[in-house]
Amino acid sequence: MIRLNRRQMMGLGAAAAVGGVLTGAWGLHRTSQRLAGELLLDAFPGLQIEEADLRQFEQDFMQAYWLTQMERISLRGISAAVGLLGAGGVSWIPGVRGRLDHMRRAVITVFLTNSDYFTLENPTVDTVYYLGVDKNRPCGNPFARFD
Amino acid sequence: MLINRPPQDSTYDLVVVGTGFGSLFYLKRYQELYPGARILVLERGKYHTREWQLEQGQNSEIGYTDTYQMPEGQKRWSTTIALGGGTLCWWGITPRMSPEDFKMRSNFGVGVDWPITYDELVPYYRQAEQIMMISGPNDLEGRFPGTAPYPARPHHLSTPDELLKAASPNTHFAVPSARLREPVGSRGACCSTSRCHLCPMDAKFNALNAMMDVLGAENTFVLTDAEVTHLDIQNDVVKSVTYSHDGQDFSASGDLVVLGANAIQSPYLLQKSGDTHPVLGRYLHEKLSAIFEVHLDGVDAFDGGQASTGLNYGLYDSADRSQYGAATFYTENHWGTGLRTEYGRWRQILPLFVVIEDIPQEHNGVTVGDGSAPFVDHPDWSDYAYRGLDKVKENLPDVLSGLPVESVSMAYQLVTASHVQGTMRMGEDPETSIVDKDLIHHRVRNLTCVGTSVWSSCGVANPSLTAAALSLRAANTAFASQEDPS
Repeated sequence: MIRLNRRQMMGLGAAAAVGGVLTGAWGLHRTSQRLAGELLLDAFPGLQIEEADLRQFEQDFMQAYWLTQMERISLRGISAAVGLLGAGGVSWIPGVRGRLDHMRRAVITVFLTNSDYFTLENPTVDTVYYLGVDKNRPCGNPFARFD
Repeated sequence: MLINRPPQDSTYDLVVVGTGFGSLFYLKRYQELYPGARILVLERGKYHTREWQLEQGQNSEIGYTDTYQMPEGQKRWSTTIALGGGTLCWWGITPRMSPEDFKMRSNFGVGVDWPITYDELVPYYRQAEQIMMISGPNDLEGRFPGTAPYPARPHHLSTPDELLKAASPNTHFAVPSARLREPVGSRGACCSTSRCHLCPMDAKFNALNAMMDVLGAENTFVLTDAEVTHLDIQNDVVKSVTYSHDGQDFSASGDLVVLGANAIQSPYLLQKSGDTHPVLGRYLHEKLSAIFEVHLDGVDAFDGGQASTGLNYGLYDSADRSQYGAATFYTENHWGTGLRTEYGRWRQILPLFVVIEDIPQEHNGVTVGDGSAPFVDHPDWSDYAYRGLDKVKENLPDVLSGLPVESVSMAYQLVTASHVQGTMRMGEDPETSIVDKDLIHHRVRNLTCVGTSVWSSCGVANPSLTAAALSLRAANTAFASQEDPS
């Protein structure tokens, strides 16, 4: 039988607490990352997109684009609540519906302007390729007229 | 390349502080008049190449909030301190100020009049537009009398612009801009990016792509990393300019000194140099600006040829400026606030960048503070500006009647439009202004102050073109025999 002294017990307890927090944070992070993809698929019913592209989009969206650190933290809480209650179940919470609408708009904009969606003849049937967020892409407006 | 060529002595014909629009255009005209003059140009910032700026995603390593102090919670001000100054970060939009902007007191009973008229500035506007190779429409004569054909044809309007133009031909125009439509030399054509401060095509006029002949002229010595700490003013004459460089203090004297740091740093330098004029540093102002979104029914946007495609004066013309600030708006050709979320209607949205003039208020300004950096105090825009914003909300639907509008809403108010104006105002009365109509300091007659610090009233126009024109006029008036430069 292993005997632990008081100091060892406290150390193990602290380690377990830190581990729990990290695991929870990782879980929330994963959940919020997936939320971007869920909103995307919800906005584009029947979207044909490769799994790897979808994951890359989720990752890019959460890491790089449009979201400040505070927004990300706040989003993780919302995302966890959506995971538990569903989007409809949390929309009554003050501020949450606005945040989700804001994120939905950002998801749609980032996806459309960083994929080949607008170049496809029939984007509801053809596979849409996500090209990746590149802030240095010099001329990102496919509709602009120059001639 | 003569940048950072060590000065060989300390005596010059001209010493220029700062390298933004005001300084560069003054310098350009001065060099034309005195090709052999010995000139020292002192720039606090570094020479950041275009490649450096694109790679770093910024115009200067000096953050604009690092160069001044302010009370917690107030709006910030953005300036660029680097070789080229505001020519680097600006977005290249070049409307003139309207004739009535110069006569606010006479026309509307508010604010003050400028000591010069629009008509006096016309030849210099033309010259600045030529130097910057402005792309613009040829139907602005009725609004800006004396507008010569722009050097380059205008960029494409967007579809919503075309509808607005058809409905209101005298109030809606293609945006005049310093963005090339066709490539010239090493500069490419505008690609309608929404990152004009870091133009990926080098299409936008800036100091590095269009004024290096000025900075590299024979007998012109440009020193970067040279922070001017004060001017030695004795008996109403600037005797010397003291600056620090490489950890050492230096002193340079010039027959003439041109002060064109920016509208925060320039008055601060004069204050630190012992100028105690009660108006110095006062009347700091800028336009109130906001983003509106217009949801359209069946019309797609974003198919214009540059970042902002249309300039509309419908709100400006109808304003009662004795009561509230006039406004203009730009139709935006980029989706900074996002596309629409309804399926398939992604592009049926028109963002508007709305600007509203303010009345400069004496209590807003720059002081020496603790002496380490300018202290900027600007609690808020005036009620005059906010009443203007209310009128925008009220009248915008009427102005947009040429469009199939579903809804109009204000998305958000901007913290700053990055136009810092008015801390060394121009005027006829030495008691109530700092410089005269020729930008010469009322008391210190070998000191010329350039740039947006000399603004007497706010107006709605982006100020860079006017700053350039004022400098061309100031140099010409001081040293040429009043001839029309055009």
